[in-house]
Amino acid sequence: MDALTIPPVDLGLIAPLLVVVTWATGLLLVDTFFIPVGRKKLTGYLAIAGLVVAGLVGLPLWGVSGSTFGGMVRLDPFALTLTWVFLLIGILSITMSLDYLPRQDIEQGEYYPLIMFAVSGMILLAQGADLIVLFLGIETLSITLYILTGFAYPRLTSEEAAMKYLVLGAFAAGFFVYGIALIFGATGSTRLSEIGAYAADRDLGDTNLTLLLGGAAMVLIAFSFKAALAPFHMWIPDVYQGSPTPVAAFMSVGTKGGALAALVRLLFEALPTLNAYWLPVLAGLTALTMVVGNLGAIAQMDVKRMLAYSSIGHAGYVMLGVMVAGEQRGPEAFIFYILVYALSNLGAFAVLIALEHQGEEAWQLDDFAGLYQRQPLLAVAMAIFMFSLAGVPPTAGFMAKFYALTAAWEGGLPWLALVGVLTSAIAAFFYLRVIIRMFMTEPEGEPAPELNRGLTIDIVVAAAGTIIIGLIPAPIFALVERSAVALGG
Amino acid sequence: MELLIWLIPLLPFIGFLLNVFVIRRERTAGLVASGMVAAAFVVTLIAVGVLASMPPEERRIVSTAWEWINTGSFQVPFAIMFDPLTAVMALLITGVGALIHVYSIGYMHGDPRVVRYFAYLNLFVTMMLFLVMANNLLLLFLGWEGVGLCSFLLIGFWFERKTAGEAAVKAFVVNRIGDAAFILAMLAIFTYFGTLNFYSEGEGGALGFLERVGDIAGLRVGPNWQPIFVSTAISFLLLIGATGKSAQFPLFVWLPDAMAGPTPVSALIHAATMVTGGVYLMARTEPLFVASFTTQGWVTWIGALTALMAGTAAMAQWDIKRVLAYSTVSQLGFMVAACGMGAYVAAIFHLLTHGIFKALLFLAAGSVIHGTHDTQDMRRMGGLKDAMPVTFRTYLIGALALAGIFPLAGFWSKDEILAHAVGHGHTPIFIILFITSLFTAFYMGRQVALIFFGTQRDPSYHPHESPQVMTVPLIVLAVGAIIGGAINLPVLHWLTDWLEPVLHEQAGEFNLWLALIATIGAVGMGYLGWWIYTTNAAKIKIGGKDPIYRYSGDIWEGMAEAWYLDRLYQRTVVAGFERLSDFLARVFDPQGVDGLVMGVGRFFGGLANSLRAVQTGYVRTYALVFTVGVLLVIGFMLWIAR
Amino acid sequence: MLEPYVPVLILFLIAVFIAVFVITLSALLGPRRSTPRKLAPYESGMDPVGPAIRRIPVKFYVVAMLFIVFDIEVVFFYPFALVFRQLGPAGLVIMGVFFVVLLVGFIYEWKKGALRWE
Repeated sequence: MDALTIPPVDLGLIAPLLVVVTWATGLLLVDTFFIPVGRKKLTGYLAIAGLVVAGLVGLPLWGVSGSTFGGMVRLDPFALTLTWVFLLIGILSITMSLDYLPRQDIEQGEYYPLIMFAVSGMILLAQGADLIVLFLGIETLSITLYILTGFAYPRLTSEEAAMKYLVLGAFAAGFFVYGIALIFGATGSTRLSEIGAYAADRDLGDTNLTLLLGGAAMVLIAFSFKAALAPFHMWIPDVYQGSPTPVAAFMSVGTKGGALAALVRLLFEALPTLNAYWLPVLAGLTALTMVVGNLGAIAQMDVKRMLAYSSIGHAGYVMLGVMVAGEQRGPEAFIFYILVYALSNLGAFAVLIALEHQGEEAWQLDDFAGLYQRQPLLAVAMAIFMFSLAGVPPTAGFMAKFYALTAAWEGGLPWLALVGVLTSAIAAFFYLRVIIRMFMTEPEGEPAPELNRGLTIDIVVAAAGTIIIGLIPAPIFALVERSAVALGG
Repeated sequence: MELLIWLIPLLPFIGFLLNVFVIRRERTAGLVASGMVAAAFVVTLIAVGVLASMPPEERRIVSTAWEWINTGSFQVPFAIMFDPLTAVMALLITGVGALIHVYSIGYMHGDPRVVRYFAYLNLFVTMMLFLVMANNLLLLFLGWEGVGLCSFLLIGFWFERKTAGEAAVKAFVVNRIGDAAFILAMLAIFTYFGTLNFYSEGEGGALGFLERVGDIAGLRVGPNWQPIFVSTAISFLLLIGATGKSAQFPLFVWLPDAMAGPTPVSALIHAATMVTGGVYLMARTEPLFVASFTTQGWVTWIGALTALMAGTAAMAQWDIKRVLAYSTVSQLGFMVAACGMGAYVAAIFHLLTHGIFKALLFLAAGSVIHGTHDTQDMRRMGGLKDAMPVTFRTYLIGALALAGIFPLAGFWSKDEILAHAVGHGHTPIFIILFITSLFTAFYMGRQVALIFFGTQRDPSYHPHESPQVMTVPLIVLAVGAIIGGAINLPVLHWLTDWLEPVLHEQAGEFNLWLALIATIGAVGMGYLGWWIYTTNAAKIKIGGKDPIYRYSGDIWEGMAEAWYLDRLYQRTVVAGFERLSDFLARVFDPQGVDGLVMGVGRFFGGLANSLRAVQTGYVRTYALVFTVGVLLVIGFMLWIAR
Repeated sequence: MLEPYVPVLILFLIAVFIAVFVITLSALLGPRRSTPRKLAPYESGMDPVGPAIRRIPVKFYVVAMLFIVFDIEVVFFYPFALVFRQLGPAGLVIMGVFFVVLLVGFIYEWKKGALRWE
């Protein structure tokens, strides 16, 4: 019998992840023992501090490429940049929750560590180089999200959302595991690089090809579910509508970023040789996603639900970059889009929170009536977010969309770029409706919505980011460019 | 000098910022906004002077502020430029713009949201200047969308009027169709040229795509059985973009509705500047269009067809502003047709003169509306010439200029287009445009008669002349409408020479016979229109039919409805989308989950029934859709793996 | 082509066969003499009156979940004990980390009162 050996472990390569997880675990105890009820904001501040520290810890890792845990975990600029984006998403989400939770009477200290755990799941997805690790990441992310979705207990819609999400999520997870099993059966490995080498080196033969394809299809389905690609998107509107608004915001950008980051690795490290098989499938799903998301949004009168549909549509635009990630421009477009979408969408959700009063939900289009008269700056910020989501220059949303379209066009999917252009033309319609209500209707005698510090910071950061990245995107482009180089190699 | 040209768009932008963040009082808002645009006009004049002092072939100043996009092969600078074509556009925008700003002070007086109005207006001027000053398509697109945005905000400015909001959305969404084509054109241009720059950035920089159109000569793209030239594909996409912005067939439906905005807005955005953006785009990317014979044909015919359709529609309108709106569409058709025939200088010439006299007409119409307490229906007017002498005279000048009466501005520019059509063998186009120009004279005669002659048909208001702050801009513009033709007189052809470095065109020949016939025709038709509606003035009733309706019947109805294009879209595209969205909402949305259960249930028959018996709740449906998706995905992958 | 999986198939078939066989056998051979007492759902229990689905106190679930957590821990510890010497100190450290994480969870739930019955 061979001696069992533990592969050498370089903890430095997972430093940000390690910080987030340890911090969250510690925070859980600190919160339980030392932070009294009613002062839970402190936990939130500590959580933000943890995420910031994790980001700083990542700084010296820039440019480092390597893998550890026997090749199961990888660190490269691609993963690191995404890590930073995820940390930013976490920070913004926590900031907007600080006042939301007490206002809704659902403040509990666990909320903040849970968000941190979810972020750690996303980071793991970006760093994972093994199907098992990816599964671990996706479950860490999902299970925390199940809890967070139901966090507005005892609000019924929240519980309903959590239940639906859990049942369907488990369904999807089943596909993932089964897919891993089939792929393992075909290639004898769960390591992405080894699967890729196996598929590239030899003639697979009928049996193994069938097994591998079947497995790949199942894994793709699981990812499609997480990233909300049609027709696996059905849970999105209900879950977003039911869950606490900051959670919906976090989910809309977080799951997408995490799942698709992992998908990029999977497709281009494990399955590049099979792209004749998965490309048409994914392209079809993407086209369907863009159509369903954008057309579905037209019918919505509830802004939160409209944003849910819009997030489905945006999943399609992100996919444009993912599918051509073999080219240099693909991953660039992907990272850039995720970042920009995160800013704009989190901002839009933050405005929703600002309009939400205790107990009553103010998400109907009419609740935005005359917002410009009541809160001019809030209305202007919301307008910026809407224009960014609609892809109107000079906002960052336009840049991101344009870049993603260019990537798809050059990557050999011009027809998909065409679908993207047309659907985004339609999309303007429903984003515009919000703007019309804000600027072109009289206010209906409601008091000015509350705006507190956390939300203000969030909205200002998001709006400023959306505009600045739209006007001076070059630094960000430089960053994503260097992140993408590593992946191409 | 580089700083100088940056000042041109920045001045109105500063005005915009001031109006948004600092100014709260109506008076200051108007003064600052007008002052900034006027200052921009002065700066433009200086810049033009500098430009004129340079040797003709070097007349282009390019200035890069920063690298906008800078990744590997994809580089777009945030760069503006100033060349002869930009110069004339900028002069028009800032000059006419400043007058309209001043006029707005009087027109918008007392409105509760004046500050916001001037903020939008300043932002519009900024964006329009970026549109014409951009040195790459992406920045041009920024201006393009920016003016669309301001147009949207200003059309919906008086949102208390129910139609305003709808008209605003309509304008934006119709324009998005054109924008979609624009984006595709950008993608294509980038793919084939690797740059979006028009011209090189300064000495020794990489060439812009307009300077190397030869690269794609003979290149074809598309399916093997029917490849098309790349130049055709690109220019055609640009053409679609231009039809959206410049309100050409089949996308002109938004412009008449856009009249819901305040009248100075109609004058500035929907007559003089923004709607000419499409024409400017075609003139700017002229090498691409010239490279494609096919597209040129399309351009010509779209322009001519639009001119005729809108010209006839203008004859049958009762709303004072809708007449002018359709007239604008028609005149834009003239310009587009001129571009199609290769007469780019004539198109720009007409663009400039039209910008002046159509702004004049709109402002004068605004003065009429102002003086008659928001009356827009011409059936309720009549006999206003004594109560509003200045407005009447300036309106008359504008009408004569538009009708193309010698020696006003419109005569020279329109004549140049017609002469080109005759001279280069575009006979059918010439006939269409000539007939349209006769119609133009007719509806202007009709309008003048209806508004100013006869007796006042609705006695419920007391008409009065507008204040000086409004009439002075009218007088200035009227002078411009009289002498504006001087910039490109047949013998002197200053404009042709000025634009020669950009458009490389020789001066067209002056056709004396054509000029004579056209003038006589215009005078005759104008008089006819005036005569019919003054002699039949007594028969016109408020809410009644047109005197001609009795003789023309349903054709008149068709004209009044602009040949039912709007209704066609309503019934097909809009209804179609509504139904599709409805369908999707029903299939993919739990609020209408029955549709899916019914549909799939029927499909799966007993299976679905038994499923329903054991499961309740919506999750089932989601899982069902999920499963259908799974079957499709796995089935498809294994099928192609066969 | 799926030859390696033939044993699995055989096993599957055997399992199905046994299940079907046993049920069929008892249905065929078993004598049927029904009395009211025998027809009751629980022949020897109490009369099942009341709703079919009973609400069980949520505490049971909490305990069940705790049980699973510690169960998994045991599952890890047994194989670890077997290869303890081969893995050396590194193995001890890793197991220690695992144990600490588990401990944190345990402390957390203790503090939250999950272990208190009332």
